[in-house]
Amino acid sequence: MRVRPVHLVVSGVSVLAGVGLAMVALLLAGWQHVPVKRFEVRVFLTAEATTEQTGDAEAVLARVAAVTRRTGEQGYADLEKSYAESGDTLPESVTPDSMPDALVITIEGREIDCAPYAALDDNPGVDVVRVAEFAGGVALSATEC
Amino acid sequence: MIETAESPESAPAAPPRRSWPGLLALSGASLLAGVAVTVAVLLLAGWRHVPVHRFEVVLVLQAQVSSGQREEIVAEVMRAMPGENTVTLVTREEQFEAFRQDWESNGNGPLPDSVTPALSREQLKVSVSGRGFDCALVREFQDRGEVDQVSVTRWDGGTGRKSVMGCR
Repeated sequence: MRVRPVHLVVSGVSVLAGVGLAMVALLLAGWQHVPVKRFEVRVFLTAEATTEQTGDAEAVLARVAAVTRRTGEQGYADLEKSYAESGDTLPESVTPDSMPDALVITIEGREIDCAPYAALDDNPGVDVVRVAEFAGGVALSATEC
Repeated sequence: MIETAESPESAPAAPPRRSWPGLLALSGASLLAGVAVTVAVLLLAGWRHVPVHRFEVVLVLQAQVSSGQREEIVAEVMRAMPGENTVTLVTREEQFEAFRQDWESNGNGPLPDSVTPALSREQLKVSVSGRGFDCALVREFQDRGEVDQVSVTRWDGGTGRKSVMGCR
């Protein structure tokens, strides 16, 4: 089939109409640009967590990213720094003794995905899995998985 | 000799036949290609569907706030938050009861006698729906002397997951 000018015009106009239609439809449906963010996944261990339970939890996290162990004191220092960076001070009720040991990984993504940590639900040594979203070093939100 | 008929070589080319079904097919295919390319480019650029979330804003009032000051804050909250909103007042007694139930459901046993409704604070609660929440909306209340604390909690419209937002 010979390509005639009319074919090019019809094709071009239709492509532009398709682009316009898609943009309008997606915007109306709630599409937005979602930037890549830094997430810190912190698995808080119970005071009674055994070495085996801690190892199991670490293995689950290691499938996602490199794991760092943080003691209660280190966790307290992390929290204090986070509050300071947002121009705030820690509540008096939070003390180094009140902070449990934790396993920490840092990941990047567009949204929080709790699926990789579902296996931790059955681990009695895990108290809570908390995902903090960061922007420029400041915590924007904290979500429990 | 006079030619009475044009020879086949010199005859003008016949006008192109308009093939409407063909043009329609081409138009449809091009439209779909435009849609597909747009979606692909946006996905690669990081565009995603963002569901409508529910945000609950809680203002914990100072103990000595008068009813007049409280009404003033309620009016300001209604003016500041987007959309049609209702501000709910949680009294000290209601707050104490919720705390007591939470305490007992966590297996802590009965609440100590030293904990009384007088220790609780009145709260103002308002729910806002949207794809995002601008913390600037609550900043003016954080700086008010009558307000002890402001918290914003998001319930994800897609997963239903609860997140505490760091609006500080």
